[in-house]
Amino acid sequence: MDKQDIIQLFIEEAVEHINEVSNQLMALESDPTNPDIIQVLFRSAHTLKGNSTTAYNTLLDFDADEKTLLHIKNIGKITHAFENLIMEARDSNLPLTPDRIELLFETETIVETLISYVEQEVQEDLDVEELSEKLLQSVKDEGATPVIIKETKTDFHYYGLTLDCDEGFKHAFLSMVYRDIQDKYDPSDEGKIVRFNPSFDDLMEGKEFTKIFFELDTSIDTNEVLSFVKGIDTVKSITLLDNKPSSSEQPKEEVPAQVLEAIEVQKAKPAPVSANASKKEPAVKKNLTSSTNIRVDIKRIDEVLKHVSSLVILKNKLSTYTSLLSDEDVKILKDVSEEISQTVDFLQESVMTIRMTPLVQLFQRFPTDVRNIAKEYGKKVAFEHIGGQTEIDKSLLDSLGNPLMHLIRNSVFHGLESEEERLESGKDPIGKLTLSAGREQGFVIITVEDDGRGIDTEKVIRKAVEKGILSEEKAKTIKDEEAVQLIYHSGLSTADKVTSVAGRGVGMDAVKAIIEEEMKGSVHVYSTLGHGTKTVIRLPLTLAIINAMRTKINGEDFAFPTNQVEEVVAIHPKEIKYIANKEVYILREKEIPVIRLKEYFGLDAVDEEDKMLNMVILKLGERTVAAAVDEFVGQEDIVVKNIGKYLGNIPGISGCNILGDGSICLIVDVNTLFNK
Amino acid sequence: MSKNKLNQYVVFKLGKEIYAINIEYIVRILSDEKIRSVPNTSGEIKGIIHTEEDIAPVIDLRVKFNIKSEKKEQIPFIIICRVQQDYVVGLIVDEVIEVIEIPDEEKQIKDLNFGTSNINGKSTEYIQGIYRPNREKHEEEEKPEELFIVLNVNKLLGLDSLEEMDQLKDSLNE
Repeated sequence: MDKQDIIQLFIEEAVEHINEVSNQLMALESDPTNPDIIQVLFRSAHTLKGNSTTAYNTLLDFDADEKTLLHIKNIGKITHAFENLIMEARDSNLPLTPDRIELLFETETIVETLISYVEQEVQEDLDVEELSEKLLQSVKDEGATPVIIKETKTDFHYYGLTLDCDEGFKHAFLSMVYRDIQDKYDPSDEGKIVRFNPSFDDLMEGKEFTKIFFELDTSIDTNEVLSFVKGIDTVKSITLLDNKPSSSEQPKEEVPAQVLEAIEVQKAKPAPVSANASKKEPAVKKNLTSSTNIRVDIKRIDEVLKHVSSLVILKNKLSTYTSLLSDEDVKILKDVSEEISQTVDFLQESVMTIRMTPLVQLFQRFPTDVRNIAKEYGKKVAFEHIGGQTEIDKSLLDSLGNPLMHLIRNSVFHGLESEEERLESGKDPIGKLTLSAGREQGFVIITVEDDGRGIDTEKVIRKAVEKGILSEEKAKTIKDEEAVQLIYHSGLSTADKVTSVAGRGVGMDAVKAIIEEEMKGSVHVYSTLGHGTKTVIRLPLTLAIINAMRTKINGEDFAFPTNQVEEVVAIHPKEIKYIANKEVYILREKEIPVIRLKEYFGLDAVDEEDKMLNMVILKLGERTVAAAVDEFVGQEDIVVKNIGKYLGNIPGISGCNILGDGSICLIVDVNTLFNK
Repeated sequence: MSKNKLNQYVVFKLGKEIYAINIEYIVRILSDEKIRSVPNTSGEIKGIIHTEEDIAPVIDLRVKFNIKSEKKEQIPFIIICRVQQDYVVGLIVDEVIEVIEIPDEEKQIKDLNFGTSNINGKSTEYIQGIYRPNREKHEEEEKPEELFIVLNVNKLLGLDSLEEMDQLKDSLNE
């Protein structure tokens, strides 16, 4: 494990905890005295603090970047102050006033920024001193509440422990053992019933130890404790001690085991029984989820995917060749080929499933962001996100964050009106902003919808003409729906005033570029003046392996993603009709524009006059086109490969794949056919 | 990439001109390769090929540099270059000749002397410099003059323009 791995692991865990903090703060705002929320907050902050200290100490030995160290140290410092305030609220009934909650939110934001600084190796300083001082001061302001020292019980039994595990991982294993004991006997974690030596904090900081013992309230039956603890994995022996053993050895710094190991695997354990605990108690909840989950570095999955991808290509190759064989003797070979194909299909599907990640992982960060932006611009916003259980490939999820954030900011800033303005136009004073996700024919559909003022198409058209994006002539005939899409044009922004959030005329074009070029999706905006704006993003589930319909055009292979193919038809050229000089094909009630792909791709050939025309009917949302090809070859799963950065974006082509015989097939970019 | 730069260069011919590319960029050299043409791309792009694990776009340097060649209709050699992990490009050349060593390259590769000549061919914007091993010696030793045009691979393969998309993305982060 090198420096980078340690930082990466730190970031991953920190993001997890700060997301939890952010969620709980939102909940706290409406329920500031709820002890469960306060407890979860305390734990997250506590772990975050511990992790930063560990990471900081470990990285010191690695000659890490000075600023990275500073950022991590600052995270530790500010979360310490955060934890302190929460602890006062938990133990000494310090009231969590709106002011204090605001401070907590500020802390959450600054920690998030610091994490991103660590991630992007930002060389700038971000001072936490002031905020940290404010947090500490805020605690003192409460008439200097003395910290109530809890009554210490003297009746403890002492138990000595030995572990059966690899020396290098003993910190990690011991903390798991502790967790089990804690959950069993003292789920409220108040230190009244059970105490550990070395303590949780010692383990977190990676302090060396050889002797392990814990103290347990005498009210708990010793025999029961002995048998329970003996039953925990990795516990070698447990004994009841007569006296309190002398405290731990000289502490020695060591790289803690949990940092050394990127994968956390926890063996499935029977869930704790307590019924009411399962819902509210965070410690129990954590155990429940981690018992079936395993955290794996995405790079390792990518590695597996790479090999599976080669297998898929080989499978196609095998069936290409065996299908050419006819002799009776090769029947066995064909059967084997068939079986291999099936197994590879299953394997491929399983690997793809591993990569699928619920969108809620991304969505959950938005409530805090919306709250902050709304506050900054003095707007009242009711934000909700739905359909977060919808899954999408991890790589797509990662690219989606920034575009979505931008759309949401736009909605709060441009879309939603101020309270007074809303009241004047007879609307609910609180603006509604909804982020939703769902599946539709093999696509993930994500919408950002607000009930704000909508986009003034007149204004957009006027600006577009002013800037020479739209000709005067076209401006007269352009449909509203089409005109609204102009907001994605670079350099066009209707914001009257330039602020840090939006209105710089940059952004919407980047949103479109990322969604269309990088994620192979599409984005469309619908707006009704005075009633609101809805942006619909349509994304493929995955970019790695897709099912495709293979065709030939002029002797060359071209494939269409099957989820965009409505049907295929063969028609006589005479069935083609004309509207305004354009070819259309009438399929049931609809007139569908025909695209001659030979022409579109500039191939040196034309469709013969009397020959039947094979057409692939393609669908994008509500729209349909018919693309003329020479012949249909069939459907197969293909491994999508990038054409290479050098060529950039090629109109009509989104990527390529390797066929069974080793030749290259191009994948048609259906989205661009619709923009024609 | 520039840390342990090798001072070896692969020398190849385009028409009558002799070019050189630093060997550190070169993954392999292919000949007789079938290229899949890609529609809607510029004329210098002959298509793409599949080599090992990579899909590489293939640029016909003779078209890109507008150099006359008797072998224009053929695809004699493709030099596969890798500039980044997932950024591989093939270059079509007439003939791969040899690998040479340029000692003390920083001094030996000289800038094109625009002041006195009228060189403004298409390739000039991608040239790192000119290497003439016998620049100083030939008078006394009667060695024939040799001239290699050393190409700036990062520029040639458009790494500069690659950054544009990154910048666009960064604008969302601000």
